[in-house]
Amino acid sequence: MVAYFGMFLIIGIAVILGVMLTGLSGIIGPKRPQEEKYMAYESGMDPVGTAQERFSVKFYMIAMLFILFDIEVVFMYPWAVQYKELLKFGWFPFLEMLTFIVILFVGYIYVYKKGGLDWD
Amino acid sequence: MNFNPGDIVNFSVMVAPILFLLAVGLMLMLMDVLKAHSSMPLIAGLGLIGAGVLAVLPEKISSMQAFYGMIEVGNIAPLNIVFLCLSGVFTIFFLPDYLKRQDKPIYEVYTLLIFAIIGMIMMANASDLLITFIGLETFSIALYVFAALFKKEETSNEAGLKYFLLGAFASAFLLLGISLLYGLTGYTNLNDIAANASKLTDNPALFFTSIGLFIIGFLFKVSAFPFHNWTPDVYSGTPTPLAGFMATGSKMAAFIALGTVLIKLNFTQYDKLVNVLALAAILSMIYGNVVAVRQKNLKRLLAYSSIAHTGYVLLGLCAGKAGFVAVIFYMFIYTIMNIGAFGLVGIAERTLADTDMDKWKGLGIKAPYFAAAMSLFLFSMAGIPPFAGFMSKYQVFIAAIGSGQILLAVIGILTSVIAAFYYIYLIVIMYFGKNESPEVSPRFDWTTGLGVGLLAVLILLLGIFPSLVLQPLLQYMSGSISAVAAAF
Repeated sequence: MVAYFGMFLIIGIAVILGVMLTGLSGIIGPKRPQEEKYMAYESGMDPVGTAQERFSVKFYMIAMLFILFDIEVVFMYPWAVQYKELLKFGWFPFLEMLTFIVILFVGYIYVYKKGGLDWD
Repeated sequence: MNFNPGDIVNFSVMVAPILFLLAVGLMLMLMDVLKAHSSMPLIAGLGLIGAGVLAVLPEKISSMQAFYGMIEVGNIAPLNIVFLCLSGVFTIFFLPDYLKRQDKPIYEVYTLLIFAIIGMIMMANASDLLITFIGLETFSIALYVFAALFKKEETSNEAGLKYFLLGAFASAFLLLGISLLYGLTGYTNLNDIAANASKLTDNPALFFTSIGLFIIGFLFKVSAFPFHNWTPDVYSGTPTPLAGFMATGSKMAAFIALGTVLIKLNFTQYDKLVNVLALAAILSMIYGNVVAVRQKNLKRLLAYSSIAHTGYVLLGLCAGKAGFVAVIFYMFIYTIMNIGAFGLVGIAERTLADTDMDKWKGLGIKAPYFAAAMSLFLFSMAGIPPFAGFMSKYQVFIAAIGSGQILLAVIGILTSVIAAFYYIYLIVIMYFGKNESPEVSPRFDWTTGLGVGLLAVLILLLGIFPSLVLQPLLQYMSGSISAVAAAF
């Protein structure tokens, strides 16, 4: 437990600081209420309607597909950075990445043809 | 780390079938979008057979590792790959006709089936607990989609949601068990964990917690007693041939994976673990068989009977290494007869538009072939001698008695008597029930007929010559002492 003393200290200070700063600014800060200040923040747009709406499943589809191809790039970065090093294994690293891309490309064709990327 | 490409992809018996199936699965995806729908079942079936052939092609493999020891080709691997592929092939016989008559042209089924079987092969042959988990999730996600396949139907939606939510819980249990095992030993690799078994027993409370959570995850997947509640609802909502696949292929993979892990950890030396499994076995056998007696819906009846069959397999698993051959043999035979039974119920569901038992009155006269095939599968499930179901039950009972679990075997035999009642009651209904209202008789096309014929022949053949499967199984398992060997 003694070994974790520093960690508990950090947690304690963080909690105290957070509570103190927000609390103090709430108590002694100046208050000039305006309607705009109390509106939900929507990147400068006026919020319209309630948040409990039904969203189209299309949003989730796009988000899911984005993550899929995002991950593809995440895997390709270290491969590309290290490619010169990997060259000593001959064609193997290249073929590995090619296999990976082909698998994802088949998936892409499937999504495209099934209309997963159509918005309407 | 010293890098050597050959270590990663060891084109051994293990990796070749997986890669082949992956290629087949990708091809099926392309065929789906290119509207080449009619030949998809054929390609999927041939692909599965090809993967099975690739698995048994190498002569004799003692032990080989791939992907840095994450997948291991143990003695039994080639055969379990073949069995898992065959469960897919049997299912494909019933699918095209079923989907056509339900008027639901869903061709993703074949792709998903292939990917599910890849997951099962991975899980069954994993020697790293993380691969076990990834394999389990791979096939589970395919099975969730199968359960909710008819997305406009309420029962199918209910089945999908129930299976998904409960399956997610079970996965969480499994993963917590794996993480505790990792915490105890510092390894996720099974061989490393087994080599550091002393670290496990240093902290018995944590060890039994971790392995208990691990077992819970698998008991859910095989629908053993305390974790069985989803089974009837899910099976009755799932498209029937796929429910058959769910009840056989996935359970076979789960049993092989669970058995492999437990045997590597040498679980028979811990009485508590054996007792837990034995208790689950006893309760599954009693509960499944007793509740099935009252069922009028055939899909629910088969679901409860599958809970009972899980109990029999667990009984074999309690016997440890000696019972493992019996477990795999039982699951293979069960795969044949259960996919057959579910397939026939699927046929009746289409043409009689009902899975209600009373609608089956008089089918023995109106549809003699149909009723004869159904009777054969039911007799086999009840364990009547000339059929394969008897041999598989015999093997697990012998294994249980051989390991000193006399009480378990006695309860198993007693509950089989209850099981025989409801299986034979359905046969009585088909042959001696009076049918007042004229109904259409079940019709099926040639693929389904071929499938039913093949499964029926296999049941008879393996009932008379069980050594056709047992002999190779024992050969591949050679080195292990088996109670089964003593019986022959």
